[in-house]
Amino acid sequence: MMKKKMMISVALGLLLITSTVQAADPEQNQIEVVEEEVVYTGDMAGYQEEVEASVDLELINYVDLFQAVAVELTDDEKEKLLLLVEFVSQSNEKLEVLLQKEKFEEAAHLLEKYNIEIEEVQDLLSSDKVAQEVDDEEIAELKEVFTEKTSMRGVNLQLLLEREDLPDSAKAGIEKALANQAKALEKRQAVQERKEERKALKAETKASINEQDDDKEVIDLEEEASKPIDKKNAQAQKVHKKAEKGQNRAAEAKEKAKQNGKGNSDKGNGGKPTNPGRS
Amino acid sequence: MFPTRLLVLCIALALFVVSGCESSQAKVEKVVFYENVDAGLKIYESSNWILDSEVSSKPFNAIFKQDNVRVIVSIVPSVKSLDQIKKELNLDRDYVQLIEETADSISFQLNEKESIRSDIYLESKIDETLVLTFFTPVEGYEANQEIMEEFKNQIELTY
Repeated sequence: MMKKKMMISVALGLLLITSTVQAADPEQNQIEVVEEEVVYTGDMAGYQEEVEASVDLELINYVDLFQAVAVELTDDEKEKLLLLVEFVSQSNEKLEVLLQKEKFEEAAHLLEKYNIEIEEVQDLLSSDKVAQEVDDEEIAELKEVFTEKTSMRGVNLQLLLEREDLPDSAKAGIEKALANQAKALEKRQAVQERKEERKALKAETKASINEQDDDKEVIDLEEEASKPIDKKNAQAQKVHKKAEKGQNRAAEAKEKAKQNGKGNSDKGNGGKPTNPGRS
Repeated sequence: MFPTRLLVLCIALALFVVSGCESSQAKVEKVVFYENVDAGLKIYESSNWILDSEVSSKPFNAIFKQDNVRVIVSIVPSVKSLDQIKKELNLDRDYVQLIEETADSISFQLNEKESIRSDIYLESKIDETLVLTFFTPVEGYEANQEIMEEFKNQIELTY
């Protein structure tokens, strides 16, 4: 009898132990999950107000990294340039706000990144690889956009430099930014000069082709020289077609407007072609 | 005689169950492939992820890669909302095409022509935020999804 009782109690005890071992893990997990949720929702509300702050210094490294990886993974040279120009213009906007608000400490951080980005774009814009993959017109366009977006019209950098309360770190950054702007302007002028030169050269080669038809090298040159012209012609035709379409549409609109105008002549401006023309 | 035999059997059975529990726990133990004590981060092994570069330590930022997938692992030393991340990255601008957004994640494509997809996941703790930023080619995203999901589950914050 005693033995039986003991046996039952031992079995019960073992069952109890194994069941608690099994139960321990899920319980812990549950507690963790609940904790997380409470913390998450609790803190969200308080941080909503801070969204307005212009640059988050805690995230500046992260943003930098995000942009660097995005640029690195972009294979197409033109896309890469577009992304870079986009990122430079983002920094430019933020910098303008920071400098206007006289947040020089934060501006100094961003200026460093901004100057590196600008140099990167400038290097890319004048690199052989880009020249091979992107045609001249597009490069010229990108350069325009780039100068436009990095002009920092909202802030007078020169004037800022004269301020006495400007920290040294920001000062160095602003000086560099000014130097970069000057460099960009120089390059732009150089590009325009080169364009002129190239035009002149093209005209010359064409003239010489007419003189010596047998020279194979010159024929190759001619082919190359005529390529951009063909492209331009094609574009001109496109534009012409578009213009034709536009004219047709305008004519249709006029016709409609006339009919409408007859229908409700009381309303006055029904006969004007401009309004219906837009639709 | 009979009850003692039963008793022995019972004990043997219990021992078996307990040892079974232990061995299954041992199986769960994973191999740590990256650890940063200062940042309070442990990443367990999964697929063929390797460390690409440790970029900064305060706040912690590092890049890991696996074939054509990249991930930026960031530990920001305060609680950040998704809106804050979105604002800093200017995700409302033209260079981004939104794919989907939840309370703590956002997926988007970087401009139209290019085929890069980015997925950002946020995990907030008491006083820090884990930000995972994946970059994958849009082509073959499905195949990489599992790899990313796996990586996400291998991260342990040990603050």
